Amino acid sequence: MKLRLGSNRIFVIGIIMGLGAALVQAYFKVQPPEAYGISFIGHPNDLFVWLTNKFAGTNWPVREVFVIYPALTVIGVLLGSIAAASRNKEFRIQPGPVRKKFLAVIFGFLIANLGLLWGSCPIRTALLVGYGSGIAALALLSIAAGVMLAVTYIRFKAKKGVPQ
Amino acid sequence: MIASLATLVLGLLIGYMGQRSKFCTISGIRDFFMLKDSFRFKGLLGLIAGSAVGYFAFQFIGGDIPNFPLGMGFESPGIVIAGIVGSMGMGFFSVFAEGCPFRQHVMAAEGKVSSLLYLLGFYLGIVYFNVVTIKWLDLLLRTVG
Repeated sequence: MKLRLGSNRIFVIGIIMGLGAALVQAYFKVQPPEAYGISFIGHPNDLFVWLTNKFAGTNWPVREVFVIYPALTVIGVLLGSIAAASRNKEFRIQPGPVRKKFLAVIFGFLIANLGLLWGSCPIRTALLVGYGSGIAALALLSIAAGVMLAVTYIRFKAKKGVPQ
Repeated sequence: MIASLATLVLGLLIGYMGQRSKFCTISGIRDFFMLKDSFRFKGLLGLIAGSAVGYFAFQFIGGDIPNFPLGMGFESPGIVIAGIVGSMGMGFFSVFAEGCPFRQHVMAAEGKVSSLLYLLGFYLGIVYFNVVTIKWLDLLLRTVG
């Protein structure tokens, strides 16, 4: 399967993702909370907590909808991406974008905690904006502010000639 | 069961499309501000537009879309503070990690070692949140309101 959606294909893919998230909420019971069709903070947390509660006997809080059967978005995305990468001969072990390995671990750790503090990943934040949430609009602006701060820091370091 | 299967199918679809398109919300915002490149930013706009249209349309034809639109209701000052700190920090560190959590899962599936290590830290972070951070958050919400 080749995706040929023209020069605005990523816009079309964004629309498909938004419609898909709305569809699974409206007709496949992926709620509450609202706009929970896709969340790359909430669903990984729900899956991991479900597994931990099941096999380690913990009693951590999990969303009501995923108490009996877990959220499988993460598994789906990993399988879908592996399929796409394999079909297009892009699957190979390579270093990745973060040069210092321990920093990649630290970033993952921090982003999980900060994301869970807000309760949403940037994708679900955008879905919530589509749902008409004022606080999500504020959060999306805060994400953009955080990105701009990081860009300013990178530019400052680049001017000083310090490698990232 | 149906919700679980729906997330699996939607995950497969967005995983495939995400790998082919390099969809990333954080890189979209970063490229837009840093390089004036709007290619990936369009994905974020499409996501907002698609979800808004989807929620409206599915509610209109009788789908289960409660409380739409959510409106400006702020539950408590503590939640607003946690939301701003969390989302700003997530935006800041995601630039250095070179992508949002969705993109990191996709890159890990492509075999990128730094993304696999990111996911190791990410899932350790989930454990830490459920054991430690959640208690501090609870304390903050009880103190601030």
